[in-house]
Amino acid sequence: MAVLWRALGICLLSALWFRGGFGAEALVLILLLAILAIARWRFPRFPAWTALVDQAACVAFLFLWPDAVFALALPAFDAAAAGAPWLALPVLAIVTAAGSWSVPLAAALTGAALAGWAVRLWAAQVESARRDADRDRRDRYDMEGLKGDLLAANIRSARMAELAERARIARDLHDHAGHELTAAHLALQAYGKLRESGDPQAEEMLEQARRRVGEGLEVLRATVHGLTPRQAVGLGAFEEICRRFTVRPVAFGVHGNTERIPVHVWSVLEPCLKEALANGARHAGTGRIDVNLDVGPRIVRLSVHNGPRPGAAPGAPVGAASEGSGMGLRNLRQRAHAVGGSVSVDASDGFRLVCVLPLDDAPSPGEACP
Amino acid sequence: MTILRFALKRSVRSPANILLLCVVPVGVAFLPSVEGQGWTLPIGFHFYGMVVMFAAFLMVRSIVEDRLSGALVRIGAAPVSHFRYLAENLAAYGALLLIQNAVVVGLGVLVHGTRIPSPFLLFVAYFCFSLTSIAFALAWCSLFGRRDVAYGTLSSIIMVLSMLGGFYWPIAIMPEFMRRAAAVTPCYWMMEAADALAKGGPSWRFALSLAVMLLFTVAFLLVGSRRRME
Repeated sequence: MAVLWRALGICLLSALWFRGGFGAEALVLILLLAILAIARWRFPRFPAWTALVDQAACVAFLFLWPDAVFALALPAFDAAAAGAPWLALPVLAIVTAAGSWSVPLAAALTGAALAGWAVRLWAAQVESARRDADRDRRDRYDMEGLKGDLLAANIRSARMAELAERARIARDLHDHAGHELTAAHLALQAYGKLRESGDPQAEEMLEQARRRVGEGLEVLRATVHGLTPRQAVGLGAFEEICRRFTVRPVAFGVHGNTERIPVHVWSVLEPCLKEALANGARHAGTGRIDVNLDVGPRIVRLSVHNGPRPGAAPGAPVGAASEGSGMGLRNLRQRAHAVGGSVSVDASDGFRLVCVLPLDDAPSPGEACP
Repeated sequence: MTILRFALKRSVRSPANILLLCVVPVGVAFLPSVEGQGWTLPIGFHFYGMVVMFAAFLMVRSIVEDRLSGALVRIGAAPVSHFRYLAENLAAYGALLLIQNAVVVGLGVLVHGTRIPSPFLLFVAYFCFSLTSIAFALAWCSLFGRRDVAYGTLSSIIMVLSMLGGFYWPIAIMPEFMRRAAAVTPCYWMMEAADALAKGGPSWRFALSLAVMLLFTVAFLLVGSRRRME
């Protein structure tokens, strides 16, 4: 803004020179003032006291070119813009001493001072807004970092819960079913020896072994019953989501051993599927939605594809959210990134979301890719 | 001094630069004189102003190429300040044009004799104009982000300034408003300095022309010295 005002001032001075005596001395003054104006634009920390240099130049040329008194508007503007109004006092003294006061001159000087003051306020507001924007940006980065930490902590806690659950199952099997089966095994060994020696207690031992095995089976059944989740998880949850999505027909295909997918990976895959189905229903065509879950030796890949809208030009984007700029997709990317994977979206042919996540455990020999 | 030496070598490497620095100036020095009709110098010395502007443009192109090719970024990573890079490049261009001016004025004296007024002062005027031309080309190229736009418009503006400033025809034959418009071009002040020498007027008139050209140079250098990274 200040640059524009200074350029306007130089142009108006040039117009005065063009209209007036056309002397070379006026051009020298205009060039001097232009150089100072360019220097102020070029070096933002140009000292404010240099407005006195402008005024000195104007005084020097005032005797050669009377219209130079209008050039004092430039230092008046710069003094006001720099927040140093006392630097404009010599302007008033010069004009008064030269006896050059006139309505146009007073208007020019007042306008210049007001413009400089407005530019100063505007620059302060811009600076304040810039500081606020910087602070907001920094806060957002901090929040995103915190979110990443929370996601990582979530994965760690899921793994810990899995290990704790394994330990609990092992303890239950050992404490209950294990003891019964060990007792049944010992009873069967005793039965074998008693039967060889023709002891009548052999039948009693067999009955005892049978009872122990029955009790062990009962404990196993109770343990399994206690382990079975009431809410569908993993592949079951996937099938449930696809079944409940009634807006469009969904074709769900699974390839590979889904038991190798850990809990924290399922916790990323499920929201991916939900987001993809919602985006596909909102932005893409009316046809079937293809959902494919491929479990490889190292990665698991979820692909959700819905064809383009009928009549849409090939390659035409299907919506802002499907371009990957939506909040939901951004969150998914962060969650996938937290587990070392990625989410990519292609909107050139309908809507396609591909989520690739790594699997931690090594593949079993039978599952290796050909 | 490494940058200075490299800039000197680079400036004389291109055939177009050699043509404008060596061949064309020598050619214009041999163009015949025209008596009267407002021509203050032999015709070739009017055209020579335009040659200087095009030569400055061709040399300044290397700075633009540095900006566009990323060489300026690499230089920024080296222990060389932008000021030094710019100063040594401009000093190289100035030195080449200095030699060119000396050769052309010397040839003019040999070919045209007394038709070349005050050869040394004419040489000084041409040198000042050379500096202005270099600064002008630098400033103009810094205004544009695209090379083709900068080069195309600069070629056109040099032609316009040359016509307006009196390189194609004497300023005296132009109408009043065009003469006023011409006065805001450095070309006009080059011709004004030559006119002051040819007509033998007061010495302040010649000095004023030089001062205006130097002021133009400072203004253009301030605009053109921005460290613009494309």
